[in-house]
Amino acid sequence: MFKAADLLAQGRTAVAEASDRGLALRMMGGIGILARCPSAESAPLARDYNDLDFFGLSRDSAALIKMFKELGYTAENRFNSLHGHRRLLFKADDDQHVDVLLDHFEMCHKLDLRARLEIDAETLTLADLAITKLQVVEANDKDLTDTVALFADHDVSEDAEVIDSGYIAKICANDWGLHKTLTNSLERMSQYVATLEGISHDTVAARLKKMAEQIDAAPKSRRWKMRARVGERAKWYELPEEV
Amino acid sequence: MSAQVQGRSAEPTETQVFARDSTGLVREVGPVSSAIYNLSYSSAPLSIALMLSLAPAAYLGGNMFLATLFTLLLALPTAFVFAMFTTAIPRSGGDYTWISRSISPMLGFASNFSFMVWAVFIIGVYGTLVPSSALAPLFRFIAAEFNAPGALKVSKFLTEQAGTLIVGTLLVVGGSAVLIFSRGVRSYIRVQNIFFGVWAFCLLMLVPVIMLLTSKGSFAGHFDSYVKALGGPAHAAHTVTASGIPHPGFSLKESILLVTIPYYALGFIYQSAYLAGETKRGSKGVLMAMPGAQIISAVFFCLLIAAFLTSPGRSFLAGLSINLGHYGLEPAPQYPELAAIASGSTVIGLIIMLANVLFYVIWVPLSIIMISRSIFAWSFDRLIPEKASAVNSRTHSPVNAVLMIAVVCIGAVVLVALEPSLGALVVLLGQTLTFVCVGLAAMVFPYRQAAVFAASPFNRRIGGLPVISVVGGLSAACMIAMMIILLEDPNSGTAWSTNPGRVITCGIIFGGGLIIYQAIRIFQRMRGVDIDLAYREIPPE
Repeated sequence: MFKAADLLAQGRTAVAEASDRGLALRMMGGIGILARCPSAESAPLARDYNDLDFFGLSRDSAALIKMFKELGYTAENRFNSLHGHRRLLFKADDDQHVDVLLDHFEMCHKLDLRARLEIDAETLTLADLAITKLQVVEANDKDLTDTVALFADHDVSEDAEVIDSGYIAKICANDWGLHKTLTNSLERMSQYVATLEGISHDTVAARLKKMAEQIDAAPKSRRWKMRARVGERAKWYELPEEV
Repeated sequence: MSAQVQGRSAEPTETQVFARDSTGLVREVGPVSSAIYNLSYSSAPLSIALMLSLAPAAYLGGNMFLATLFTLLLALPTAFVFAMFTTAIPRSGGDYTWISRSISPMLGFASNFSFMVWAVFIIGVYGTLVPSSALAPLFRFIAAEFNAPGALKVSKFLTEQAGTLIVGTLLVVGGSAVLIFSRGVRSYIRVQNIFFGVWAFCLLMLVPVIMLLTSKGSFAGHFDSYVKALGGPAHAAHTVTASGIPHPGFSLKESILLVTIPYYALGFIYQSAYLAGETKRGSKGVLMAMPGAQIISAVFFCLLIAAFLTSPGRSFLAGLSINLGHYGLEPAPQYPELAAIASGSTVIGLIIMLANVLFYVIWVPLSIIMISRSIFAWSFDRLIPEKASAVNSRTHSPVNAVLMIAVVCIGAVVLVALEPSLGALVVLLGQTLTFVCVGLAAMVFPYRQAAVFAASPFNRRIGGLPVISVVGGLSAACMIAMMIILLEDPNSGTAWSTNPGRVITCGIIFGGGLIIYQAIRIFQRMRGVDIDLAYREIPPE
């Protein structure tokens, strides 16, 4: 395991370096959430961190490989040769991993985040950080605590400064599978939050509820409605493999 | 995969919490696409064409259904070995990675080198087959249906040396360009799936229906009209049937030798293993993509054989390959053209002929992908320069590897165009030798890579013996039996009695791989690089 503060400092260094080089790079994952959520620094939401996750653009792929090498990381050439158009992998001397997702976030659901990188300077937006955690079908302990940290520290509203429920509701209104997973996750989170001590249950629960209501209220696209007719008879998510 | 673990909740809760250590990766090629890749690589259309034209004329007394069943039984254990290895060591390079980590790096390289040399050669064969077996019949059909003498001239040109050379070279260049300019394997796979879908509907579904619904008399009428439209003699169907060799009755020996033909398709239906780094890894999906695809292919093989034995019948098929000039069609029409003729419809006939072209067109790039993944694996292990696995910074395609393969493949096109006797079947012996090595590697894998075996989905034992070892032994034995058949069959192109030189060539290529590996090892050691270190690990991919 690695010290959260060290990883966060490494993340900020990489983002600043990328910015200096004119490259779009944002933190995401656990460290991205730590950067935005003070509650993730202490119990019950503090946790161990294994790696650093970033989001970038595939057009910068070669420049990002060069930058991370210059920052002292070793590129996983084998992995990058095969998957480098959508993902880059690096390793530090102490076996710490750095993941750089490019253009699309693709786990249980696929999200096009290319146009979202310009909104916030250091991390993905709060809404995107929330979606990347809520779209996980088989959530682990870290996904749950990270999500609670986001909703504990940030309000939910149709505003990019907070967790933008309008944006989340809009993409869910066009993708039945994502809608299904996110609403399931929000329900699961409500149960999970009730079991935690040392946080404001009411605040988090109210924000989760508000998010769920906004997602449900958004007018759905024709594509969404057609897929809804098939329902759960067809699998609506992917289960990613570990690398 | 994901194991359910205890959550951090203070009280019991129904919330399920799963274990996952790192950010997940959704690999690009799903099980259905893998199965289609394998079915496409298996060259079923060519194999079926060879079966329907060669079996009645050259394997007298051979039973096509029984030969298909024998082939399936001989090849099925290898399909299972490939499926098990793909899930246990899902890395690029297939047999190279498995054998190098289970037996020895030298044998792994020699086995894979030999396989890839023959894979390049078969691209050369395909390069010449596209003009002669796909485009020429299409233009001939157009000439007959639209009374277009110009199209007939084009058709004839495509069967001549210049035509096969030009189109074959263009095909390799075009296929390479597609791979260079496409981003990732996913975009190619999408095209592959569409082309295969069209081909499968037309050639595997429409064609059998047409032939089963067409009487012999009706077919003869359509065939006579077709030949006449192309300036051939009257009553051509009768001429063809009369020149066929009478069926001498069932022969077990010929049925066994006939295995050569369906083996060309059913024995090479697990090549998605070579891009295992990019394919999804569920064990059920891999079983569907390899042994499953093999069984599906065998079923369609039998369906097409049954359809063409119904109409136009065995005597007609036997006569097609004999005395070509007597009935005015040269080269002899293959089954897609026969089905197009039987349909009696210009539109349906054109659809069938175009679908046939689609299949041949996708074959070359999919083979280049497979070979490029072996080059990647060699490069990752420092057997060849790192530049070989370099990717374009914009498209992220493996430009150098594809260009290297393209140059060698164009050489293969030239070789096959200049020496047409080097048919497709010649590759079988050399590639089967690789399969024997894979079977042997499977036998020792649980003992040489105990931890990897234990972590794999196929880690069960029977009577204390690992299942993969048992299936590996069976696979090696079946592939040795297959090699004996290929050495005995005078039509295989590698019969010891008629083509000892080609058999020796197979050995030289394999032995060359052993020597090349040792030379590289010594060269790298002189530079201070110990390549043996690479074989002690299975890095992330």
